[in-house]
Amino acid sequence: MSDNLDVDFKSEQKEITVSPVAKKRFAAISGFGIFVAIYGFLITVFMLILAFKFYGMASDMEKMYRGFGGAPSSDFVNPIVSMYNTMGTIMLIIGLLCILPGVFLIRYATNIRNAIQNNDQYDFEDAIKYLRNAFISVAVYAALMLILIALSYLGVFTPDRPGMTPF
Amino acid sequence: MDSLDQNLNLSKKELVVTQEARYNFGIAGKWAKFLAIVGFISSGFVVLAGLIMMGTAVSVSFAPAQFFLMGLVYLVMGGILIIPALYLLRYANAIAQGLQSDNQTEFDSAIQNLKSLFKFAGIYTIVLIGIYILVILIAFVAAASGSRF
Repeated sequence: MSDNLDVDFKSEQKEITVSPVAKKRFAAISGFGIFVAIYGFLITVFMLILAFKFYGMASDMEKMYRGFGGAPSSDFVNPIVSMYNTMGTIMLIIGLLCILPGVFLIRYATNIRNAIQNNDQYDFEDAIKYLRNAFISVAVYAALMLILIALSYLGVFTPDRPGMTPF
Repeated sequence: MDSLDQNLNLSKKELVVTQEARYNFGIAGKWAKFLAIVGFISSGFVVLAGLIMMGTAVSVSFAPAQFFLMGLVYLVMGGILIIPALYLLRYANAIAQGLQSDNQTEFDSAIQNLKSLFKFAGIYTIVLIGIYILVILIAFVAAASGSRF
């Protein structure tokens, strides 16, 4: 019984707190976090505009092809249309993927700011949860990128058509 | 009255790293370490690519200056990539040690490195925006003067 009490007492003594210096650092993190998150949102908007621009270009190409009555040949037009569509889809995916870390970052930044200003324990815990989620989302994207790079080196995305090999 | 005093103390009390916060800090630290390792590997590849380009510049007859310049840009980019990876690794190590041994100094050091990481990201973003603006301005000036780059 006495041991238990001692153990509890020791664990309470060793509690980590957010010191005034750490609070100042958290405040700086909050400012930079909001800025980086806003930049992320702008990138998302830019990527979405680009994606729809590429889809529009693909659609225009098809319309032009029909307008010319099938000339030039579909062998020439189809690869260009599919390239525009692929580029559009890549931009769309990158744009949408940028949203999640941005949202987590901005939530982290606003919660940590509230927590520091009002000594709000709940906001502090929420902020750390969002920081964790921001790190997880960025790390998952990094892992995905590594897998895609590895697959492209292995030649998974290389078109396997006659006449495509340079030599 | 006692309970009122306790509430008053609670509102003035410092923020505490609770068990839930410890758990979340711990997971964030592990993922930060993963990102740091990915960052180091990526910067290694970029530096290697830069060195290969600079090496090619010596042996190639076509546009050696451009190859050398590109290699130099890659080297600088690789060097810049190391900085956030270093901050991430320091944060991950310090937060793990701080939480394991209930070390306040290590915890404060982890937050210092997290702040440095975000500061770096912010400054890097500002520099990127500056470069975008510069490129747009150069493009406008080039278009207006009718010259070709």
